[in-house]
Amino acid sequence: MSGERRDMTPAVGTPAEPGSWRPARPDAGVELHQRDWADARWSFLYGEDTAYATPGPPPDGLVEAASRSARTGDPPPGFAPARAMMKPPVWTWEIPLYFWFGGMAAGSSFVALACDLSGDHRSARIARIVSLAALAPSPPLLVMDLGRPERFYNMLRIFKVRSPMSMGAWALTVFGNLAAGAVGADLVGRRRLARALGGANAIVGGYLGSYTGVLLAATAVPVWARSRLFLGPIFVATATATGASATRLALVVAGLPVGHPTRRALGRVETGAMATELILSEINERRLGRLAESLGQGRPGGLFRAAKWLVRAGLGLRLGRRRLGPGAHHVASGCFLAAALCFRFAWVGAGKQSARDDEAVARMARATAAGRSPAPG
Amino acid sequence: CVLQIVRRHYSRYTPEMVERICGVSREHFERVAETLIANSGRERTTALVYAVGWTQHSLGVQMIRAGAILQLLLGNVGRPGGGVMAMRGHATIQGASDIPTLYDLLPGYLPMPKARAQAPTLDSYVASDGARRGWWAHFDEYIVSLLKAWFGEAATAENGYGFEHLPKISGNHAHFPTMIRALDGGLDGLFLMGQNPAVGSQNSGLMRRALARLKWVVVRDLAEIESATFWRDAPEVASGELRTEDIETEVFLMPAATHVEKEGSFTNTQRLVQWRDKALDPPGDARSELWFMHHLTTRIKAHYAESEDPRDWPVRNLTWDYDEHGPAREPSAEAVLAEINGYTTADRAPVPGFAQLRGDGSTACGCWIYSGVYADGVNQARRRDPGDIRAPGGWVSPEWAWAWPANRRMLYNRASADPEGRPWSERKRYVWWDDEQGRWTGYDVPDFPVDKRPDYRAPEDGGEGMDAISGDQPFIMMADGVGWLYTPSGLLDGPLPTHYEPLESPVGNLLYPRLSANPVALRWDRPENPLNRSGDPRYPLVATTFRLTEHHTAGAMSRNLPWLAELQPEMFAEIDPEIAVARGIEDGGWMTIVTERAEIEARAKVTERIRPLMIDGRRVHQVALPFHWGYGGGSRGDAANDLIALTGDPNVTIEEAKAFTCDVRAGRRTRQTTEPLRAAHDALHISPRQDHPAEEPKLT
Amino acid sequence: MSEIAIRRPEAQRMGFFTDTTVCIGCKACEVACKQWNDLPADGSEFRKGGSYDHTGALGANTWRHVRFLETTAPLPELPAIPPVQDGGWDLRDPGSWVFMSDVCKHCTHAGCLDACPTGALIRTEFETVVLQPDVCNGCGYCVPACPFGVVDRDHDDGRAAKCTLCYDRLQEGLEPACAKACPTDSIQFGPYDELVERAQRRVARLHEKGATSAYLYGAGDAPGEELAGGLGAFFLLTEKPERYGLPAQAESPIQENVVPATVAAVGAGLAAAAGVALSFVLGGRGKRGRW
Ligand SMILES: Nc1nc2c(c(=O)[nH]1)N[C@H]1C(S)=C(S)[C@@H](COP(=O)(O)OP(=O)(O)OC[C@H]3O[C@@H](n4cnc5c(=O)[nH]c(N)nc54)[C@H](O)[C@@H]3O)O[C@H]1N2
Ligand SMILES: Nc1nc2c(c(=O)[nH]1)N[C@H]1C(S)=C(S)[C@@H](COP(=O)(O)OP(=O)(O)OC[C@H]3O[C@@H](n4cnc5c(=O)[nH]c(N)nc54)[C@H](O)[C@@H]3O)O[C@H]1N2
Ligand code: SF4
Ligand code: SF4
Ligand code: SF4
Ligand code: SF4
Ligand code: SF4
Ligand SMILES: [Mo]
Repeated sequence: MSGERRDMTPAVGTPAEPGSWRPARPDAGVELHQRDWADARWSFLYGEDTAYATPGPPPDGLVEAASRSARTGDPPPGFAPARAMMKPPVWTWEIPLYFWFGGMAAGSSFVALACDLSGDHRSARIARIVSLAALAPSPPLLVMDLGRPERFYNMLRIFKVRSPMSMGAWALTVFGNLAAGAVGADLVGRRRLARALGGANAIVGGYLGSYTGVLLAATAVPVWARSRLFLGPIFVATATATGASATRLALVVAGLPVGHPTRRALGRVETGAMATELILSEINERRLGRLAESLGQGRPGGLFRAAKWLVRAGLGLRLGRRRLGPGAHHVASGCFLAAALCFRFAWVGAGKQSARDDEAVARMARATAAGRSPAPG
Repeated sequence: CVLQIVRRHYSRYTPEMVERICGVSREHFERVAETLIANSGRERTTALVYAVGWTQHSLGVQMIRAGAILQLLLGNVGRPGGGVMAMRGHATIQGASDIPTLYDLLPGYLPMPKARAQAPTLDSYVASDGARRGWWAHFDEYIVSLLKAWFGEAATAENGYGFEHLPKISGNHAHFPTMIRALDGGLDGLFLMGQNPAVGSQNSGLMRRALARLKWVVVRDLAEIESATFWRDAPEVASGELRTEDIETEVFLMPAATHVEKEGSFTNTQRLVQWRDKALDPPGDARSELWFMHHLTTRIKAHYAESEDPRDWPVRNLTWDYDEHGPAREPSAEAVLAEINGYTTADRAPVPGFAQLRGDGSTACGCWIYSGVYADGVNQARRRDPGDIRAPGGWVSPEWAWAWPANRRMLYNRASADPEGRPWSERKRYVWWDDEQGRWTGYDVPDFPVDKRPDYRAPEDGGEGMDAISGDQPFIMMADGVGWLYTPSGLLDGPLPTHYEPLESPVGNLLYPRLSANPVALRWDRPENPLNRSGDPRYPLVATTFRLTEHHTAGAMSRNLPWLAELQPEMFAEIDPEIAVARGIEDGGWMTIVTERAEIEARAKVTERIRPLMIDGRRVHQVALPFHWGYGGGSRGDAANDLIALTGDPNVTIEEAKAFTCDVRAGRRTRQTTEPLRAAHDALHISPRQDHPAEEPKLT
Repeated sequence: MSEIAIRRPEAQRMGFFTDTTVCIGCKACEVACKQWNDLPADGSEFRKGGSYDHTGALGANTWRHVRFLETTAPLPELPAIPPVQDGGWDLRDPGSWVFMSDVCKHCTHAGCLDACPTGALIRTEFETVVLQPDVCNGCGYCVPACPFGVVDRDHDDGRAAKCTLCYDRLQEGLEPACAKACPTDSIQFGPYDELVERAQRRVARLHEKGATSAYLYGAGDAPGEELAGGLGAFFLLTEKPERYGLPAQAESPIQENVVPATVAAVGAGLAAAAGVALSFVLGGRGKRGRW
């Protein structure tokens, strides 16, 4: 990640700690310094005897109107803040990979519940194992992405409803414990407990699979924020599809026979979810307009196109199922899993691109301003 | 009358002519003129604040004179909010001319004695440099007290208080001629105490080659500056012209304490002497200048203690009895201040001010104008009481530090009242005549004999001393009590400022076509210091040098500090978009600047802030260069001063760093910066001479 | 404000009013901040464009940043042929050089604070937003949550960092280091209400003098038009916000988006669960496939 480390030593003192001044005498104060910010409250500039400001309050509405006229309408032509409008997210590959695994875990928890409900307890057990297995890499990935991994436990210092990251950390913790509990219960033969834990987990999974979309949407990154109603659903769809695909493949490996209703149901879930994802993405992209540029350009754009082709390939394989046999279905599942991975990377990458796109940031803000205030005038 | 002479002289300097010569539009010029006039008068005053944009020219002193004439005519002298203020460069630059590091002055602006066929005596010195009328009639009191401070008991009336032992000057021994002498092998050694000529002085290639001819250099600095490392990393070493093995200069690099690590005083442009306490101990072996000079002098005195040689008399008899304190044996700075203030020799009691100084040896004083700074044995410069600054006149804050002379915050402040002694206006009230008390009074210490009535008139025969100054003549330092529009004596380049082009200029002089540049400007015309010919088509652009907020002069204090270096990371040159296009130079790309002396490379900053000047119908493009970079230290780059010739104004030898000609091209330089002068230096024959031509003109 | 983490009854909201019309671009604030907070130099390179600004933007080690704008009418395209062409510009128009000292806005609705999962970012008794370096684990979520591009995670240090409004100095009754260093009082520090009141009168004076492009960025707005609920550190600007790299409108993205996004997401989650269940229910029927 960090290649060559640069010299971070400040000219003096400890980074980010208060100034390390040494008084000449231990009790020496700052000469002539006046406490209670008195220094700051006296000035030659804005004293009573200067023309700095009007003596009385401004005419009604003047200040508001001045600000409104500067902040509404079109952004100035040819402004060049050089990628300084906002900071791009600092997340690296661990995060999209985590999104993929976490989604898969959540999706498998849905599957486990559905299997239980439909009476296929054996499959439910396997789905729970898939869910736990998919979850396992998530915490290490998240910890790896932290700037200070050794402080990962600070995530659980507080419970903060408004922070999707905090809620996500808690959801992941609860989900992990439930998943492990359920699989453990399965192992020791406590079937009912396992089912109960699995059921609870599907509920938590409902959040785990979708909050990642909220996490991105609740930022100032134009392409994410402007997709706020779509990101959750898109991410849930991907989660569901990957959960179903992974479980289906696991069931196949575990010997679930061809034509078993669970296999068929899972196939339908995969296809339906991925098709939904494709449609939602398409709609979202159209309505984003100019902002969608970051989804179409550069590496993220390439990943997006790859993802879509993978989905289309998977759907094609599914539609041609008669002729192609079960092997084709497995390839299709693989396509969906790969497509989901591409989507995750594409979305995170697109966010970085979008944040660097000064014009996009400026236009989003202008649009908000226009929505809030009367026409400039 | 003088006014008519002035009027006639400047009648040709019309706004149109200003526009043709300077490229400043007529409208702009008129706006400035009107603003000045509108803000001068009874109710309003204007201050002129200048620094090196005015001074660093071959007619720098005349520029300041022009400002002074304007202020006299507009009535802006001696009044609050008026004056001609030099913004001082380094801390206490003002103090360094009051108690000077200048070769031609003694403390308090007493002139340095000059070598003459007939050796000067105290009497002949006082007779020639003192004055019969005005304040300088006290001249003898100041020089005798100075000699008493220096030579103590040994200074007696019989031996002229040791005056004849003072060194005498025989010519121009300023920085530049001295370095040229060094180049010719005529100098053994040099102390560089806070100066970096290898980067900061003009023709710095010449400076470095001169340093390489010395036997020794003592560098006292905060950082290992280029002037201490030239022997290993100067461009001339990189080019192979100088070889480290051949350079015999022994460099003594001594770490210096910074301003917060030592006590002492700073004097600012307003002559305010402000004491500074020490905040921290200096690190390691770093020591204050005072410590260094004190221990050096003590050792030198010990070395000569037994000498019988008459020429060692001043060393042997120098008074040097400052207390030491602390483990580092730091001398007491306040003891020095007490000596500067002056004392009565009988009981060493501090004198209250220079009025108490005597010419009979009963008082000693290190610098008469500072007399009073230690009045009552109290360090007056250490006072920090602003007083009630909202009260009428409260902003004068007389208890904040101490100003010379006599804690007077404004010179010639008698001029703040009309000839009858009444304030010119209520708003500009400052010092006035109080008829009831029969004395001058006001917010400041009156710069006038306090009881001299406004209607006092000097006797018909002129009178002697201060009697010669009438009650309506505020300029008491002038023998005739008035401000001079026309200076018949004192300046070497004429009584009235006159337009000259810089020594290097792409255009001719529209007013004096046959002269062009200042005819008496100092030029050291030699192959190692060539000038670009005026109008030379190879150098069509004008260049100027300037400072950046982010860096300080030769850069040792800023290029070595990452926080500042990152703010301006590289040497650059500012040019306008037209010339950039014409020369194929890209913003942010490399460019090379060329003169006869050198070529340097810099990043191009193409900006519309730099504008071509329309000079007499011709479009003249400008190049602006910061001069902070050098080949050593944290942030490195080519030195602008490699490009500039050594020249000097005739009065004070200030360099012409603000105007020279050059050309620019795209890309990096192809050879070491000062290689163009290599042949000239290789051909240089070292001929040490006592009587060095660089120090012309000789004094007569 | 309910989210204040440290309570002190006598404390009041403190803030900055940065008046760019008196700024001289000396960068003393930028350096004073680095010095007081022991921040390392980022190291910089000579930047094309950007005038005298080579540090570029606020960041993890640059908590005050001075932006430079050169405003002259744009030059016509010059053909690249010597000799020197007359660019046809008005040489008498000197243009102007605009400086702006940028800093964390200490938003009333602070996106960074809303986002922070560890509680490293807190609201102090002065209603400023402070990042506690000993708590931050470098999750990086505050970075895209700030609509002003202020807070950033340092690549090598690993933690996020931004202006503390000199919380340590405020506790001692000292004004912030940048304001203390500012020679022109371009940076004015004080009780928030006093600052807003003075700033409004300043705008009125500038408008009186004909400088009608002057406006306040972040204070004195009509209800509903505030930037991020009002900025604890607000500015007087003369150019459009984007010229300084500032958005024309901003809100804590969390407060703006979390609820609708969550509703959509959880709705989708429910729909997905239902969909899965439905598939299973339908699984028994229909044609037998070779899945
Ligand atoms: N940050 C910082 N501050 C400093 C210093 C530093 O290096 N860095 N140095 C200190 C020192 S030693 C000094 S002496 C002072 C000097 O302070 P200044 O005099 O302000 O220094 P400069 O920037 O060299 O020159 C001032 C201006 O003169 C202009 N100029 C050039 N030619 C002419 C002319 O013919 N007429 C007029 N009117 N203007 C002209 C230049 O364009 C330049 O903008 O600054 C002191 N302060
Ligand atoms: N082209 C061009 N050249 C110029 C000018 C220009 O405008 N254009 N300006 C000229 C002017 S006005 C000046 S003043 C000169 C300045 O030129 P110099 O005096 O040669 O250069 P400085 O870098 O100011 O040198 C001061 C040194 O003092 C050191 N120092 C600081 N404090 C202390 C201390 O307390 N004790 C000791 N012993 N050392 C200390 C610093 O580290 C620094 O190296 O440059 C001149 N050169
Ligand atoms: S930088 Fe400002 S405060 Fe410092 S010495 Fe210069 S003028 Fe004074
Ligand atoms: S959201 Fe940005 S500007 Fe507002 S307080 Fe947080 S870091 Fe500062
Ligand atoms: S990087 Fe630190 S301050 Fe920012 S949100 Fe994460 S824990 Fe909070
Ligand atoms: S308030 Fe303190 S931390 Fe914030 S920018 Fe100013 S100096 Fe830096
Ligand atoms: S210190 Fe003040 S004047 Fe200087 S750049 Fe900062 S805000 Fe502007
Ligand atoms: Mo200077």
